[in-house]
Amino acid sequence: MKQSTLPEIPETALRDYSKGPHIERGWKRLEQELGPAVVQRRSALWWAPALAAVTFGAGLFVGAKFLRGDAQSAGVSAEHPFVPQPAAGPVAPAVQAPETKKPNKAVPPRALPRVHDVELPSVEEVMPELPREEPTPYTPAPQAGPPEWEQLANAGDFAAAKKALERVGGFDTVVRSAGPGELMTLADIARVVGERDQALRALRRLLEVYPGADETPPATWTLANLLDQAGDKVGAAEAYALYRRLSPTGDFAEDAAAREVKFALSQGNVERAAALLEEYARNFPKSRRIVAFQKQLGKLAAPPVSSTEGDKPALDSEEDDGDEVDEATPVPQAH
Amino acid sequence: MAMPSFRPSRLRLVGGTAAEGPAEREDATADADLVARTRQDDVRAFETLYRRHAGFALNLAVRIQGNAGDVEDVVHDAFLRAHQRLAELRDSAAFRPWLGSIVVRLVRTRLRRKRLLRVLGLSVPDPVELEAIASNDADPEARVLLAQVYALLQTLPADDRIAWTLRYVERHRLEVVAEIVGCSLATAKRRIQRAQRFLNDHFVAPFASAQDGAPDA
Repeated sequence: MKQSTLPEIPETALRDYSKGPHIERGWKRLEQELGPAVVQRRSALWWAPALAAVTFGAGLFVGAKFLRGDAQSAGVSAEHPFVPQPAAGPVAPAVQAPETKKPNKAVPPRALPRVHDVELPSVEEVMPELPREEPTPYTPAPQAGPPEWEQLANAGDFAAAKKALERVGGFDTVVRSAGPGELMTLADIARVVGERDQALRALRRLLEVYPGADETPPATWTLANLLDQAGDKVGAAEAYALYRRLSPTGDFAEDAAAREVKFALSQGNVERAAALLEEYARNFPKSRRIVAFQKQLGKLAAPPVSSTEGDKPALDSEEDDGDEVDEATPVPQAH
Repeated sequence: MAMPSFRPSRLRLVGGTAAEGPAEREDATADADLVARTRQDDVRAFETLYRRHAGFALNLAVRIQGNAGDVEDVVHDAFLRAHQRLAELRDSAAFRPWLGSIVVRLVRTRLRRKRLLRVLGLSVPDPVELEAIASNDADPEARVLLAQVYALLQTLPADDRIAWTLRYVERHRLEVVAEIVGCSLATAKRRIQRAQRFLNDHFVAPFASAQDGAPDA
């Protein structure tokens, strides 16, 4: 498998939410909130700017009236309130005792110095007796996260992830000890770098060792696709069938069923194709593929007179007795 | 790798664009009238606006997120916000792209919050809901294509993912993408190209038949 350019996303493949009960439901909910909420919002917030202005003014008043006096009475230097006095001893006299200096109201306070203009003393100057500890070198805690190859794969760098796998013993070594999630990641790595066989080994191990894991249905789906690409149609059909058993309402259940029908048709197995198509139509009655399958099945069940044996697809199973299917083979109808 | 060369098949947005057709111009005129009436507290006019554009908003939210989680809440909040801020809309005819930009902002906030919680180990990634994105009639190839594209998109930064989705899933023109995302045209192009390069590098054709170009049944 190789990487390829992204094809166009067909517009018809996208679900359209323009119609449906959610539109009506959404309006009901919106209507309930619109009317009273808007009126209430417009009338209820008139006082907010006034309250903000009053609060701000009160703060200014309190600050001007009380805080300056409190600062001076606390003994902070009026000239350089943020600058500690030069160190004269082991203890920094940055803040003097309240009783040692009275506030001098006669001296007008100077403008406060800017922070970057103030030359702050070092810690050693202020507290020379403080025992100093050598900084301990930083040692990061051991990583408990995923291994390197998994991190690289999660980041989308699958080639680097493959190389990282080689550094820890190789793909197969890691596969033997990997959990279900890791096996899916390993399969993805192998798929992207073009190692289909390795991807198949990882997926098969997942199915064998972890049959009940959440990853098993998507692994089965991927396995089926890989087998399909490898040309193993029978194996792919079995894997699609297994996927449907594991995840009957899964994202790809319909596609898996359709592919089973398609394989049966391509093998000329009319009886099996009819049975699968009947089941498909029952489970997915709205699918537009039903009609196309019915047409193919009709052609297969009643081949043109001019066709020769050599034109017919090879049959390879005991159930593949398409020549003996009678004309009354039930063909499901689209609903 | 080559970029997809398809052109948007139809313009979904109205207003403020040079390449509008008659239908879009009519829609824009109708929107302008509805916006004017809504500004005069006409709830019925806003209901009509809602019904005209709710599907667009839902599609946008689902296709950007990749799932239907909380999209109804997102659209609800978007319309509520649009109603509250309708006075800020300069071009009344451009209601739809304006609404789209509100939806995108809300989804982007949600995506970033989820990503942060995921980094902190407090959340798990939202799963891609194929059923929410793909229509019932989608071919298997298209469904698998969507599943893989959205799985890859989930690993991209929110801005790149949104820009690419608007361009190649919603199929808006570059100018409209830039308008909805709220960035310059050059930034929108850069984000789309970055996402496209990542997708081209990591996309793997899911079926052999897809590579061969053989249609499915």
